[in-house]
Amino acid sequence: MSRRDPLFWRRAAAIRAKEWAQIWLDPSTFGLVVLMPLILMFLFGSAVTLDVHGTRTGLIDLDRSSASRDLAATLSHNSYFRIAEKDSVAAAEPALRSGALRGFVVIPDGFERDLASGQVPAIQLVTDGSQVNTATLLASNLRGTLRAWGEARAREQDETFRPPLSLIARYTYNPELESRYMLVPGAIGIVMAMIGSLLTALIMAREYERGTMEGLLSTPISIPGLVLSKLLPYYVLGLASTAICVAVAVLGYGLPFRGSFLALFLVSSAFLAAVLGQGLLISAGTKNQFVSTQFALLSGFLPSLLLSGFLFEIDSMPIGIQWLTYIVPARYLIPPLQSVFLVGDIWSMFLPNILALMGFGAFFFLRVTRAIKRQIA
Amino acid sequence: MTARPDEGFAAMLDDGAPLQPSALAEAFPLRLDQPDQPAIAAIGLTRRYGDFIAAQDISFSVRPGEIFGLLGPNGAGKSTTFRMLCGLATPSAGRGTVAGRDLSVARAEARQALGYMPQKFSLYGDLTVAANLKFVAGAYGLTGSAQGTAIERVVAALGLGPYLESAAGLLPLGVKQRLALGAAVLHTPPVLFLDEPTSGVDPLVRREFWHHINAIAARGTAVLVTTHFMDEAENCDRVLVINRSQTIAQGTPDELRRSIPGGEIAPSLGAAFFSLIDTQRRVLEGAAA
Repeated sequence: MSRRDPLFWRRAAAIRAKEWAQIWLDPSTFGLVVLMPLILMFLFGSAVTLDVHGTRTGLIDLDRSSASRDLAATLSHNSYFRIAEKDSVAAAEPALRSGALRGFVVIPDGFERDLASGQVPAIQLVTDGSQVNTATLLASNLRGTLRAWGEARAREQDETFRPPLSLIARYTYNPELESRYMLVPGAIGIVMAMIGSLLTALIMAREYERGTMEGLLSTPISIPGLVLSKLLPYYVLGLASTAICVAVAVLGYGLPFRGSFLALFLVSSAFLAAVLGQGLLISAGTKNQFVSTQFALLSGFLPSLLLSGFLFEIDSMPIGIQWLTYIVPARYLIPPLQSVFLVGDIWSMFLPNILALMGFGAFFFLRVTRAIKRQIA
Repeated sequence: MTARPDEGFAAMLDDGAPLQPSALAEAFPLRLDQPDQPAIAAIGLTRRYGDFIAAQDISFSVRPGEIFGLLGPNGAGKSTTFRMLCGLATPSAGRGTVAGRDLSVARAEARQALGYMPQKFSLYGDLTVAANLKFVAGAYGLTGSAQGTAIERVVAALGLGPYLESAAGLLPLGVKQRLALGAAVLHTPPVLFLDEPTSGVDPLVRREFWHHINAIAARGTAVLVTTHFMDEAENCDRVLVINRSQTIAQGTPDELRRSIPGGEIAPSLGAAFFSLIDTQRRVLEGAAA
């Protein structure tokens, strides 16, 4: 290994060709590369959503006045709520307990009278506090709707009415404030982390399990050459999976694509180097396909899901956990991915992330070659 | 080197039909121009795993064209010695050279110079015979028409033609072994390592194998073979007997028969082998007492 091997490229090509032949013969690779991204993208894109639409909400109108009917109609027409009218609080409570309702709104007796006399009537909202996100969103949606209703009503009665303060919010890059816009690029990161580490988790373990590692190591190729040649086909497959995910995001979920393909390619290549290397290290370490798969899922999928900023914002994590996120490759992928889709190319932000990911890749690569070298030491 | 004492072995296995000249050997270039340069050299090879010594101070050298046998029971240290010489294990002490290349300095070059047939089938069971041969040829740097010629030659010589498109994992054992031998000689190496090449195959395949091995050696390739078949050891030019990680005897099969204590001549190599192992045990027990 100390001298240049004149036949290196031929040997590397032979290993790549062998790897492709095995990939071609193994239908599970197709499932992993094509079907899994489709299924996961569907799940993450449609089922996992942080938006609350059509929250099942009860409405008890104790006033039965024209004002209360008008408010009830406004609530019914708002897509945030799916209103079910109840006669009394006693009738709504069991539905809340059973989960049939996420909360209910009570319009008190004397609502219209209080409004007319200039008092501020109180609307009651009872929510299911065990569903924290839904409950908070329900409350803030209701608050917003009530304010809008109140202002509209005031304008009707007094043309000169102006609300005391007004906020004009512009939700840049995501004007409709769809959580999908943030979630889908993140989901691509999770899917890539999973597929990347699973793809390579199997390949070294398979060589050991079938006893073919011996033959491979007795050929003249150097160990770094062996590792790189084996990685390359899986890198191409990883890129194919990424392309499928991006296609689903743009064509299926209607995400904008405001960055460049070059940026996408560089960021995902750096990320694949990191996760493929991670899978390879697991594979060379466990030498067992089953254990290796479990490990890859645990170490690839879970941290990517929980510690990458995909579901939980890193800034709001406890400081110790924040440090932990620095060793999760997906943390460096998801922000650039979100930018590529929603904002555009921000190279000042991409480059540090790409460098960090390449650092991971180099680290894993060195560890893998050392692990294999130790076995013949 | 020309007269080989394999009459007994060949006669025992001979089913009467004379064998064709080995087409496998014909492609090997003649390499008998430097008969004194050792093709394989083990110099004090030692391998320790913690407190356990798997091989201790093993030294021997093999000339071009020589068939050299490592004989010993399972776990005696012959596989460890073997693995150190093909770069699959690093010696704790001592060194090994293959075709003049030091394994610790020029591992890739040393490996390029050797053909290795592992004891356990280690080609790809999911790939076809053709794909396996293509892969091995490429890994040893054979491409294009040189690769095609080498594969055709091996396929014809070993009768692999009917199996070319079969998955290697589904082949009968004898065919698997022929494929493994074919893969080891694709690049016509000056040094051939065979680890228990005929374990588990029928006598006809064994005869065929030895026919090829003898012919390849006659072209000047050095062959290192491990075995625990006495009749196969009989077919080697020289034999090293290993037991309990140590060399207990080295020489031609004839010399080994004469080397047993008491000045007698052992009736067979097998008898000499057991006598030598027995002597070692007594010496070791005497030293311990």
